[in-house]
Amino acid sequence: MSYELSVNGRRESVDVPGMTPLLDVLRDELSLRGAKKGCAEGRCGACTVRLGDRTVASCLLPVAVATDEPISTVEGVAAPDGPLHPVQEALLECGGVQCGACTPGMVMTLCDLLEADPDPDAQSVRQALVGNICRCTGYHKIVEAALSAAAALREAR
Amino acid sequence: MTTAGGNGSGSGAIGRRVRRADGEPKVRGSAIYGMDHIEPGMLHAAVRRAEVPAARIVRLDTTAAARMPGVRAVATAADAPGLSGMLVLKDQSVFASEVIRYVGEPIAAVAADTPAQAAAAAAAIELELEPLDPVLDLDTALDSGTRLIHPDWESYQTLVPGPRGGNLAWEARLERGDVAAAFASAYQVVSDEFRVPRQHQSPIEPHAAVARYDHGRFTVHTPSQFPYLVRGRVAELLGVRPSAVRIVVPTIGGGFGGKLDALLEPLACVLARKAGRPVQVLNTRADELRTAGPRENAIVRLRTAVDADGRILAQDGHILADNGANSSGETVACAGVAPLALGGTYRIPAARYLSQVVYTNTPPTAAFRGVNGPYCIYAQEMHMDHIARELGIDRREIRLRNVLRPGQKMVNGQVLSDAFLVEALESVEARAPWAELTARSRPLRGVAVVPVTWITNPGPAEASLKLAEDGTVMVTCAAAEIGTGAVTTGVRQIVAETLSVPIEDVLISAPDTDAGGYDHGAQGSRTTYGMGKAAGDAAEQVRDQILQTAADLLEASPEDLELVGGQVQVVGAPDAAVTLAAVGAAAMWAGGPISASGRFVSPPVPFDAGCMAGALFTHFSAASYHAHLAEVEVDPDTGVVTILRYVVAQDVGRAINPTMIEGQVHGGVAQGLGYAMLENLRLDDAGRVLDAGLESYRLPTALDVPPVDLEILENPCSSGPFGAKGAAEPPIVPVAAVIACAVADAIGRPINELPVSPFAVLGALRQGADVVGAST
Amino acid sequence: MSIVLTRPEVRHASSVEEAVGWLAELGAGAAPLAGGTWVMRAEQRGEPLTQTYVALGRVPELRAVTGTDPVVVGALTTHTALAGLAGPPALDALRQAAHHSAFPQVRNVATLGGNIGARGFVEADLVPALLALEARLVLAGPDGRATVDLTNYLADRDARPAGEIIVAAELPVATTRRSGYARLTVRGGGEYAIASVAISVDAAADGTVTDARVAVGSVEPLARRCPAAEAALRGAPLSAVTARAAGAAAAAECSPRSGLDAPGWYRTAVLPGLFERAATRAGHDVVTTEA
Repeated sequence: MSYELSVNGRRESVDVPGMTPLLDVLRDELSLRGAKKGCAEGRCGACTVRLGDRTVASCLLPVAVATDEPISTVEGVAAPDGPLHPVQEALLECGGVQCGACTPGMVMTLCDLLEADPDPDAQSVRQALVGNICRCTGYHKIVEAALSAAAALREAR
Repeated sequence: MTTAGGNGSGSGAIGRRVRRADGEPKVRGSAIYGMDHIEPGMLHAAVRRAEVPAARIVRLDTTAAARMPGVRAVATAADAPGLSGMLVLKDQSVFASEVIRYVGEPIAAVAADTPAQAAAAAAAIELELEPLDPVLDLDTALDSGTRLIHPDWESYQTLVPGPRGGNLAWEARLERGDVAAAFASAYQVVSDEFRVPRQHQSPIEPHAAVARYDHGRFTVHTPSQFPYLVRGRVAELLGVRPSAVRIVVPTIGGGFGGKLDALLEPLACVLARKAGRPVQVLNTRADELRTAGPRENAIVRLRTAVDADGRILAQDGHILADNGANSSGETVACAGVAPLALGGTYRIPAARYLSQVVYTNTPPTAAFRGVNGPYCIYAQEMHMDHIARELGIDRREIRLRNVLRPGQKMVNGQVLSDAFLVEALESVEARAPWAELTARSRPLRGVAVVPVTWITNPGPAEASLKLAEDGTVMVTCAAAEIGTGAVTTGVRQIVAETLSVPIEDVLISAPDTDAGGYDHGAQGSRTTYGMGKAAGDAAEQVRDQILQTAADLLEASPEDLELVGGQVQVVGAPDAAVTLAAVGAAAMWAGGPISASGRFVSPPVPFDAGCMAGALFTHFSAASYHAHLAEVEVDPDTGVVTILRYVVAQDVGRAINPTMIEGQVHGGVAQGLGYAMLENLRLDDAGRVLDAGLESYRLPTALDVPPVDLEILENPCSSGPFGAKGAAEPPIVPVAAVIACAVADAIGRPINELPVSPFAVLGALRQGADVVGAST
Repeated sequence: MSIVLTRPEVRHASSVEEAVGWLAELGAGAAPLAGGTWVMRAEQRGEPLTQTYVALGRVPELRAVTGTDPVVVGALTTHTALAGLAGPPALDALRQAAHHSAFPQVRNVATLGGNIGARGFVEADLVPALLALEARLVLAGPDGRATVDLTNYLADRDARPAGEIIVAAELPVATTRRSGYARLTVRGGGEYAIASVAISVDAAADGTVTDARVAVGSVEPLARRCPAAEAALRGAPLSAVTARAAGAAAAAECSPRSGLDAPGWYRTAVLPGLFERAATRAGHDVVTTEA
């Protein structure tokens, strides 16, 4: 079946069965390999993207139900040749990135969190991250980055 | 940002929190990981794996599978007859040939146009088996009368001779001092037994490999921690020479020991050679948990003779570690680490350790950060608490009485001239006073403190440096960046400091065994230490060449020149200067391009060589010294443990990049906490991995990790770059020990089995059990 | 071993009747699709996929929340939306269950109807909350619409007729009613509950509990009401003591299942503590044992 998607502001057309996970469509059909297939069972969060105004685990989302709202992925957070988003900037500055395989999902979850809550405390950041597994950092520097990015975003406002 | 140092004293790069060079692609999602790497014409593989733990293969027929749609190649044992093993014992083949030895063992593999076609063909391979009696129990595998998993064990080649035989894959022994006399004269003898489960590395990126074959050479893109090891192992398994294999390492999505050795690469190579096309082999999460070797399950038995003051007179230890069905992981190679782990922190004047690695019909076990350290230290510390309890001595005090001090000898006779354990304990004490914590201790609250000595892997490294025409420096090496920042910050900072160039001007190439010299892998905290030193060595030679060339340009003597902020200037006359770009260009037609190779291997350390047998690791190179403290609270309704406080003192020698070190400590503590409380890779009574997904195999979340109160201690190491020593492994090593001891304190019962799950804790509280887990 | 070479297709229904018609026509070859978070893991559970899925997401009726008593919640309402559901304290248990379930990426798509209808989903968080709230389900099938008690629906969930879908849940919301929910996980969150408890009580002016509904999830293969626990709560103000007694009663009347996530004995052993937590969340007048 043919599906029309809006991905990072571009209209894309793909021809795949409707139950194909959005993650596979992004990675294999659209060459957007930022979202990672960490587990394919909705347990690690490395495939997190945004559908409309909410985060989803793209490995668990059939492409057929992803057509009605715009999709944004980590590749759409900052222009490829433009400056980093404050969340990306803070993750690097605070040391919140090690192997980086969870990072695309972390970026999406944190961007979503900071839009909904511009001034979160550490505990609400942790609550928001509970679906994003990081095996490297022990999370502290990611939480620190979220608070730092929140401050930067508030200042820029 | 960069501050210029005076008199060639560097660029100020050491100790700075510089950003990782690979950071931008990682946060943008543009970094190409092993799992992201694709090639034109690439085929997809599926592996037909054993579903029973032990069987004879009566018939294997791939005819029908080979004729299925999209299938380009089907490979079996006939295509890869070689035997290999992780360094020591060569008992592993790519595919099971006559006998199946574990659930998940590859029997055949298919390459096809699509993953689904490959999977369909793999499923269509016809297989007839005759079941064999599986050997699954570590305890009874060595009993006489138990079926031998490798009846041909005697024919296997070994790197070094070592005691072995039958289901005993390997044995390492350490015996020193008069153990019998010490036990005979002891005030008291205390005995314990501890059991620990398998722990899986579970990096977010599963194993992945893409191989192609051209004119007799294989090129493999694989997220490997140790590309030269994979090169050698692939060659041995395929029966080709090592230089016929080229390993290229894309971005690595986590390793933790699990990506040291070859796993999917040989499969990809066999298929690529047969199909004449690039082939990708990619693990699912279930494949990972079922077949990518975890930290071994083990049993540790300790018997200790002490005097009335709690001083250790002698220790007798027996470690039984599960090798699984073959030696494709590091378990055999690390057998000798267990005695060092047990005898590296406390003064043990007489000791007898027997470290046995046992074959079972289970998936092979492998390296995981800290290898056997976490369970040996857990056993030793819980045992130490037992001794303290028997003698009525305070638990911190008994540790202070026994802890190794500068100039004293480890159990192998190695003198620790720079021992720093008391300082580490004092650092923790300053922030979390023991008397206060124990005084306010109340029912269901507990506290523990654990000192530990750990190793930096001594393996060799080579790096080449070249000065480019624009004044930048390129480092070419085969060291893999597994996320620690050791390559993308540490090595670069060392080079920047040595050459007084801005950190941004030090570039580093991706690991490629065709280009980079030998490197002993991202393991044992060795990259900043070993590769840092090799790159520093090369940088010093490059600096000499730069000064020589600049001397000609400036008409000065090299001794009168200094490197400052990316240029060479005359000391005292900064106007007389030349840029590195100009130096690079001038050198081209003068002495030739500026470049040099540096190399390193950890210097030999004296120890009592006669006391050990069968040990690949015989001593602690670049030893580091640490202490961890935990305070916990137990919920009597659920057995759930909350960590109220976690304090770390870590000796890093010299902090090259504090941010990266903090990240290693936070991450190591989190993984140690997982091992202590959550993670348990279980097998059923048919040898199948039960925890084949991340629902029941529980990795710590952001809500599970306590804040870590860390003090970085600098106790310089003479052999390390700028005094640095390994920093990545130590933080996982004492975590299970300190958490288990704190929980035991909270519930008033020893804990003789990991993990310290809510079920174990509540069970002990409710049933009034004397001991949590196994007991002697 | 059979391998699926191509994934199933999806049809989008635009009305309840269209969905029901397609599902009835395709029979065993089709199943309804809501958020997809359960169905998309069928292969990992070793369950076959059907050939066709009928997506319900474009049926506006299924997303609507209407009424004041009962509050009628459309079956495609997500957990995130349920966590923010407007309405009196009687609904607290449902809001809490939705809020603490899974993690944001799943709560944002997983639906009320999916949580109820997913066969074999032992740990579903909303189900015990809905049982304690005495939810009734509006069902649509080839023979039209019907309203049934959730308890009755669950009793034969695995044998419901082809073509039937859940349209909405009706939730009574008496003003004297309070409810609370507690779930236990080994980690801080982000996983299925080992055991979960929903308590809903009606209280007289002096606080005496006049009626109580208690449900326990994840302990047995199906979430269930616990009559002995309900009896234990009646006749006295809700307190830590009565809650723990009710938990002990529930433990006695449940036959716990063992699983990879926890041993069976543990699920019932923790019920008194979980009952106290659920009671605490069910109102501010609960005396707790916490220091």
